[in-house]
Amino acid sequence: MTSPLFTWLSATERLTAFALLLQSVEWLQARAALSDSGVWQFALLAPEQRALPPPLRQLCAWLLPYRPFVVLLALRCAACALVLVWGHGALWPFLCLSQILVCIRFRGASNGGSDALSVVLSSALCVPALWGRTPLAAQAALLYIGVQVTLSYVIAGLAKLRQPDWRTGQALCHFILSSSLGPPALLVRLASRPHLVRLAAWGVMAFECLFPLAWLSEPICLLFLACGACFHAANVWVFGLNRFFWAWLAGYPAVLSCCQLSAVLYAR
Amino acid sequence: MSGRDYAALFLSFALLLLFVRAPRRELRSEGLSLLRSLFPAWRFFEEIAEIPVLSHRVIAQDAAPGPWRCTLHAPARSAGMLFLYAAGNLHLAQQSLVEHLLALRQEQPGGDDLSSTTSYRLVQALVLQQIRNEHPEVTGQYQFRLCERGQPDDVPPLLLSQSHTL
Repeated sequence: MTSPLFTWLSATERLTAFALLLQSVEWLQARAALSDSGVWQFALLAPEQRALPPPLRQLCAWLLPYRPFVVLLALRCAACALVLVWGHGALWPFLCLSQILVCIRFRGASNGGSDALSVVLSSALCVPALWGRTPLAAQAALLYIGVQVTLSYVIAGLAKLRQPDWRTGQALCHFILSSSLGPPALLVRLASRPHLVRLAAWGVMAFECLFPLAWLSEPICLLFLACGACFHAANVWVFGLNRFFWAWLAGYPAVLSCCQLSAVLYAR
Repeated sequence: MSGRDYAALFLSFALLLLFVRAPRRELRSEGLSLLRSLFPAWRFFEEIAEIPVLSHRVIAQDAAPGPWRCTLHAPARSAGMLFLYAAGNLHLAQQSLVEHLLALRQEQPGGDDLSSTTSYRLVQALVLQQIRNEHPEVTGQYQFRLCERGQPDDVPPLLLSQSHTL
């Protein structure tokens, strides 16, 4: 019978592979923008890469021009598919390094937080890949991911809590109404009701700041994760941040494993 | 949980709060900027900030400058956007280029020439691509500007480019 730890590890690996697969497919669909006649022309980006350490700079020179980059994206898709279908953990070092290279191609990040969490996920999953699929390696990887996912909510929540505009609801109203996709009609009507907006803003801050409570027990953890999934789904609808949804969802099995770990530690 | 556990939890939270409140210093390093995905800040939608709108105009040969046109057009939402939303993410990445250029302008408010910077040249490439999509055969010059969303036309733009040849 498979240990729950390896069940969570496998779930994290597959969800992360799915998230990275979607990102890679999207960039392949939009590859014209990366070509030498597109916007992100390598010739325009290369000068900045001189600031990188020489080995990384050389790797960028080989892999980030248009044609090699398209091949790299295709290889990422294949690697992600292998992980999804056959659970090949050995591919994580390639996926981690290629994730960093993709970020460099877009001058650090193309989608902000989802790129950062993708690096966290893929780098953590390198640990069992490189040091052997042992309980200690699995636990270390899951603990690192669980802590980072928790920190991502708490730091974001505390940073919002400091801002008077968030406490009054004005900031949430502003962000919704200024969505680059155009605000959904339903939310425009809701935004005209200050009390509802303030309630929603405090709901977001409460969810984020109190997320560490998810480590206390499994029912509380599942509740927070369900709220998180709904929160990220709403962000997909309002802001088009679909990569955030899958990146954070990929970290949720790790949060569950951390909840179980803390239960074990307290039982002692 | 015992009293000591609650104290540990409270102390952890207090330390995190201090960390979030601590003044931040931006590191100005091109290398670190390219590797910033390795150093997540985990701050999202923190403060209300200006939203720059990129627009452009064509100055055809022997003609007056054309009207300012919005360069970026948001794609429609779709049923499958939860899974694949290439157009949406491309739009977000393009908007990010514009915001980087505005941030650069705000760092150098003295009117320094930004045309040799990577940020400017990427936005320039974005504008040129849009013009080629709209008017494949047009010749002459073009110009672009950044304005705050909803800004009246009589207010000076946040950034006005020089004229470039098509």
